[in-house]
Amino acid sequence: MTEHSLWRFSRALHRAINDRHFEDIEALIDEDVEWALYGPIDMFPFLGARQGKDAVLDVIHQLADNFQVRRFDRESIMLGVDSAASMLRYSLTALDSSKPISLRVAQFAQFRAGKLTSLRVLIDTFDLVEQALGRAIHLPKMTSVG
Amino acid sequence: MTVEQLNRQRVLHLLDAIARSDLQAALACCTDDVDFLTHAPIDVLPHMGPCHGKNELGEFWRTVQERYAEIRYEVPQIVAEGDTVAAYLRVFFRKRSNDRIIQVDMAATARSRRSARSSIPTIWCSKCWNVRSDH
Repeated sequence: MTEHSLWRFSRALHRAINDRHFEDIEALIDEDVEWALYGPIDMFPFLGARQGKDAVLDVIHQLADNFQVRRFDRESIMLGVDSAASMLRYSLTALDSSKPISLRVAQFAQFRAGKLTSLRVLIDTFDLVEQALGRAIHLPKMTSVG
Repeated sequence: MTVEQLNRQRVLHLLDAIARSDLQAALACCTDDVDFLTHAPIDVLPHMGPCHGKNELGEFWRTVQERYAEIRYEVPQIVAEGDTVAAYLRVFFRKRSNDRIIQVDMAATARSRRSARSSIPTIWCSKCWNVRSDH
């Protein structure tokens, strides 16, 4: 049984972020990849949408410059033939402050010939921003008309 | 039809029922002890807290109906494996109070049991609450 592309991609991504070993991940990204990490791009410029391998590799370099993955737990995972979806809980360390960040994300990936062609990552960004700021965000409670 | 295709159809059927505000049809897709968990800012949106059972879930969907006159959705990606289906959803809510459209990107995972949804955890991207048109 052939290993699903998600496992190779996941290993290579974590190796790139933690060990700054980028060769494996470069080989697993399609030239025309569509990539989106949904979140507050004003606060985290490496979030947002990117098109093409070079732009995506630049984001991965920025992630490696800013974070270390301490651990991650897959809460659920679904594998299609050339697709995958998973809900993950990440424990990261912000390298500039050594501050721990805990993050819940949902990830949707599509592959073609073993290479990543599309990645969409939804992040529980409200929680992320509160952790990054180190304080709670106080927003007005929505009423019945809100 | 494979189990995966069938479960995928069931999730799309559930989404259709919610979008056309047919709560009876939507609840008929769920088990009596359905769990609904949202990772969303409940400080801001208190009705988004966890729901257990059809009554609580029905109450939640009724609250959503009261606030939003129209719900449209797109499914850019859906993945099914066994009894579990994950969907990346782009949902548009039209507010009753001022006709504004809110777009929310979300990930929803549905687990089924005996052909009905037994668990529906979701992640909402808080930043994706965008007002798309202002009247």
